[in-house]
Amino acid sequence: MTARVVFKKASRWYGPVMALNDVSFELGPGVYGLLGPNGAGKSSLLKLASGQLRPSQGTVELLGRPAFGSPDVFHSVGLCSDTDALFEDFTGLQFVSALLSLNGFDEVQARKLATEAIETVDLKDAMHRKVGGYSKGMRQRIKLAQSLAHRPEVLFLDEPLTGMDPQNRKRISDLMKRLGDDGRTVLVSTHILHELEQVTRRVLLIHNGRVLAEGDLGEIRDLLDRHPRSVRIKAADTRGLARELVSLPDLVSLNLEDATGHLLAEIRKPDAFFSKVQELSAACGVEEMWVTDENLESVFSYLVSK
Amino acid sequence: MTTADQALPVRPLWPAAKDVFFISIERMLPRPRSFWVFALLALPVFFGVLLRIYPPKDLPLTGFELDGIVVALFFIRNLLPLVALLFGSALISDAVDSKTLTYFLTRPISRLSIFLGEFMAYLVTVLTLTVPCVVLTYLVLCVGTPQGTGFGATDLVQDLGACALTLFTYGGVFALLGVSLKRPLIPGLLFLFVWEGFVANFPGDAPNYTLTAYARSLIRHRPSEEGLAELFSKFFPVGESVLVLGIVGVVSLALAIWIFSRREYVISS
Amino acid sequence: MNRSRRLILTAAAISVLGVGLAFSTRLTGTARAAVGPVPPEALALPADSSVVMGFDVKALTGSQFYAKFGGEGEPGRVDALAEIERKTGLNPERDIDSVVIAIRAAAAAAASEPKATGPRHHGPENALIFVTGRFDAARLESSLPEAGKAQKERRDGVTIYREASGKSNGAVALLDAGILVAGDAASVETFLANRSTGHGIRDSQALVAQLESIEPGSTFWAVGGPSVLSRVTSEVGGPAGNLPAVKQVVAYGHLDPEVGMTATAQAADAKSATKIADVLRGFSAMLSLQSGQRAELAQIADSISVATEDEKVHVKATITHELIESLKKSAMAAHARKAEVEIH
Repeated sequence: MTARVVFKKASRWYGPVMALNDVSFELGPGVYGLLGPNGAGKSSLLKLASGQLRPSQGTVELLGRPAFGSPDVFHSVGLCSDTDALFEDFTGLQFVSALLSLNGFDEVQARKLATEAIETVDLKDAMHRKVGGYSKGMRQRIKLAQSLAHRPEVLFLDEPLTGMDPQNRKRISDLMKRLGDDGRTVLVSTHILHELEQVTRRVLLIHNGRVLAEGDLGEIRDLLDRHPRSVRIKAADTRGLARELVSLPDLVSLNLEDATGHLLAEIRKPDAFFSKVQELSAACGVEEMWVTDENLESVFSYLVSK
Repeated sequence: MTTADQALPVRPLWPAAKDVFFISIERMLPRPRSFWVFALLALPVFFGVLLRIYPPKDLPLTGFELDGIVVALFFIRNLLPLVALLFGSALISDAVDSKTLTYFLTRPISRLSIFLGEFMAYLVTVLTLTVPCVVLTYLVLCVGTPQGTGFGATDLVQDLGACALTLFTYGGVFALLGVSLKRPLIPGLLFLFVWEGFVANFPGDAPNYTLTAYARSLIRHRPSEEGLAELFSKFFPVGESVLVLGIVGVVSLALAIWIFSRREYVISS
Repeated sequence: MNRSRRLILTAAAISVLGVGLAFSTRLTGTARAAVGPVPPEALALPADSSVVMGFDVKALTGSQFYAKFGGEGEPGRVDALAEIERKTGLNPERDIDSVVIAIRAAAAAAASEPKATGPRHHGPENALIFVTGRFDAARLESSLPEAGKAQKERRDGVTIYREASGKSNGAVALLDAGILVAGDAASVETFLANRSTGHGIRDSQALVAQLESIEPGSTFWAVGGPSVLSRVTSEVGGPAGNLPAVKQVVAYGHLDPEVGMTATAQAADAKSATKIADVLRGFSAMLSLQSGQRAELAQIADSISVATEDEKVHVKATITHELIESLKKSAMAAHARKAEVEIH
């Protein structure tokens, strides 16, 4: 394997707070999952990898160059950050084209590549609308489009599936898999192990700034399956959806939140649950689905204690 | 497989800066902030129209003198430094606050290109807001006066040059403040109204250490010795003023670029 | 960048149109327009001038009148011009285009001082002389009175020479545009300040009205306000000494093909105007009465016409070159007779 992303004993702290501690790993072509609870250091790791931060100790290399202070490597690197930040007054097409122009593409090329990328994330119908008016899922997808429009060798995706409906989760998961199969390096930070499993089995487990394990997803998933997880669903017909889901065998609880109208479910075996939601998404108008990760925290506590 | 040897180089400075400019200008100019700043800058036009409709009796000033005073006191002395503070200090901090700086920092362009593109967008924005107001103020105050509209045409061009230089210099200083401090607005206001406001009118050599003393020296063509000299304690030759303002602007920008190029920006959700 | 492009283009259009308007009116419009015979550059002469007069030197030196009576061929005259040119590099016939003289209110006051209180002020101390032409700055500088003692200052494209000896308070400003302004230092400074501020003759509506009533193409002209004229009339002896106060006078004239002059005096009221007209007619009648001794006087009397119009008095005089020639010959003959008597 030829390493494209190399961490060598890399540490990073903000004042007295240690964000990443003595991390070493190498990533070659393929898709990698970066898994960890909130505050584990996932975003710091991605920022170091994408050259936004300088390691306090150790080295981080990207395509054979120090990641920080080597802007030339960004010809071949794409980043979909976790921040919900866009150029709000730009249309989707303008947003992606403008960022492509920064990569040196002329107007015609930029427009062509941007259109292709937007088609890839299934936003073509909305590409002439201002991104300020996009839903959360659409914003995620346009961010993803800008990260892959210039066809980078290395892609860093920080929580890319947040806020997407099941159909688009599947679409983007398939896309990530294709990119990995194409020989690109994709590092995905996500809480959704179920979808991660569809694209890769290689996972970096990170907790309290340390990489606990680099391993197969199956083992992690087994652990997680023992702990109920919370899922929040936004749908047009939440009551109808609830009626259909209530009979599932591994459902722990199901509540309709009055304030938001969202459906809150606690589940043990996510596979069947997600398949069922996907099946019902058209009939019940499922718009968005989030998996809260409180229970993931307990898994990491369990792993650490182990 | 891409390696460092095969990788494309960083994009050339000016084409990259131009691309940053096109993005930044769209995010800087058509904004509510620009609208309100323009409304402030256009106040002399509004009052000028009132003055022409309801002229006061025995006004001892010609339209040209009035225009010179408006340019010197309203634009150069007060509003343009404030405009430069609002826009200049926000050059990078706006992109940090809106968390969009990441999009620039993860492209194959140097930080120098990013800064220059942003600064060009700043200059074009503030000039787009300022220049029409200065020109319209001149026209409103001078059209149809006994001396004729064209009497102060060269002064008008000088005024525009002085405004541009003032915006450049203060823009550089406040851009430096913006990349150095997390909250540059309060220090900037203190600098403008305490340091620039008072020290520039101290006797002796104290005005030498203020920017406003040099900026106002560029507007000495009309309300010359008898008018503004009573308000301003010291004037410098025009050439010296241009040189000092130019040097301060360039040095401030160089320092700002130096800091921006080395600084880490922790942008997170 | 559609929206910002629109905004930038709008701002640029406003700015370019505004600056273009200012420059186009500067080149073609009112800002450059002369007021009557006063050239645009001289409009910075003080608005408080009591008398403004001018000569079109080019028209004067190019006239038949100047050819006949300008003294060409007389050795003294040629020497004088050569001497001026040697000292200053300036040949008035060749290098001066026009002259405008403004006498300020202060000068008028000085002119009316009682004789007993001291010497009358004459010369440039309270007057401004505005000259257009072509000047050799270096030679002009060396010819200034008490050369070497004049303080020289360069300011805003203008070279200013100030009398440094303390004997007088004169100043000369040489503008780059081929304009020379001389007078007392304060008046010269006023002129230069007016150039910057836009003040000047245009500030006085009365002066502008008088100047605009002057016939275009006049070779010489003068306008005067009340502060000087009311006193002048009281100083004139004889019947004119009892003339009512004149508020303002506008006079202008030409030299070819005959010498013509038109003057309009404005009195306080119609009655005063009639009185002034009567005095002038009486003066004309006196000339006619003396025609027995000198026939030319009758022709002069005939050439003068006086008319009134409300409070205004119009005087017109037309004198042919032949009559002037005749008067000149008579004067020379009288001079010769006088010289003969002195020899005997």
